Amino acid sequence: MSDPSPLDADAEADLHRRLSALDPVATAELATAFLEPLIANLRCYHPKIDDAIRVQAAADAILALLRNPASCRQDASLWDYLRMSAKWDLVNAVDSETTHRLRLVSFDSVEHDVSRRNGLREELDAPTRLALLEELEIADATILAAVRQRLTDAECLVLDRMLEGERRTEVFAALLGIGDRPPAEQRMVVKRLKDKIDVRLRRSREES
Amino acid sequence: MSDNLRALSVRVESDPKFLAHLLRLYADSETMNDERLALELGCPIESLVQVRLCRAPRVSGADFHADIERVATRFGVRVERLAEAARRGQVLSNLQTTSGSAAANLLAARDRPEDGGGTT
Repeated sequence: MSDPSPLDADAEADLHRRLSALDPVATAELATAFLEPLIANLRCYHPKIDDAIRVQAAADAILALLRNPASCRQDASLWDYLRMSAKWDLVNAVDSETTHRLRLVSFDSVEHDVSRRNGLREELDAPTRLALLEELEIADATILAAVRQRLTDAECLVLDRMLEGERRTEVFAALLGIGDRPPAEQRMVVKRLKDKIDVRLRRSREES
Repeated sequence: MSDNLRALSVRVESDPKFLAHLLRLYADSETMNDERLALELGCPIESLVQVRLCRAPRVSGADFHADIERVATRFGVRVERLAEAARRGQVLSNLQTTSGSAAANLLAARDRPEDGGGTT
């Protein structure tokens, strides 16, 4: 699965330069460009983790960078840095959740013993927990591959754009080749496809 | 404008590094809601989210005006209104800090033994 930056290389480098130079609008531009794709990225790799935790992790990663732009080396990719930072924030956020919340998130797939699962927070260091999350990434990539097999090429493109955080109906309609149809019809077709993808994702997760 | 971005822009209202902090203090001092604040700044309410997420302008005169102009031009805000709101926000922020220090000094003074009350 590819994880392209929401910005092209030149735009990202320019934004990075302006962020470091304390351009006052760069913080807003970065948050606008990266927040939703970052949430979508976490949703893609960690679908079983509560959405509120994912949003919090993405927001924390972005705020940390906005407050301290020097934390990302000038020659590094903002997008790669944010993804890694958000992943760690996710681990920390999972840490801070209660045992009850832990039961709801993704450790289910790798740890079945309830009493042991309850103690994960205390027992495992951050790298180990990250490794667990990475195991889940592999599982989720498998699920996505299974879903793709049941979609047409155009529908796969829609799925890719959804994973990147795209939400606009007209973009999906263009990918499906129905951009010239009335808006109401576009909305109906796109919604039907989103529902179909959602059902297939859920089924594949249940089967995995 | 996404709800998550809007929530982020509200979250930074407590952080003096962001313009959101100054605009919140200004709006509160005028008992303005978001709609009125957007109207005051001459921008759509959606733009207010991005304006809030901008870095707070530097304090000194020329830098302040350069930063305000940059934000106003980028997000279509009335520059003089934004400058006024940000300046007022800076003053209120300083007052908050000063009154916080004054309160701390007062508490410290109250904890000190009264003159002549100590052992000699």
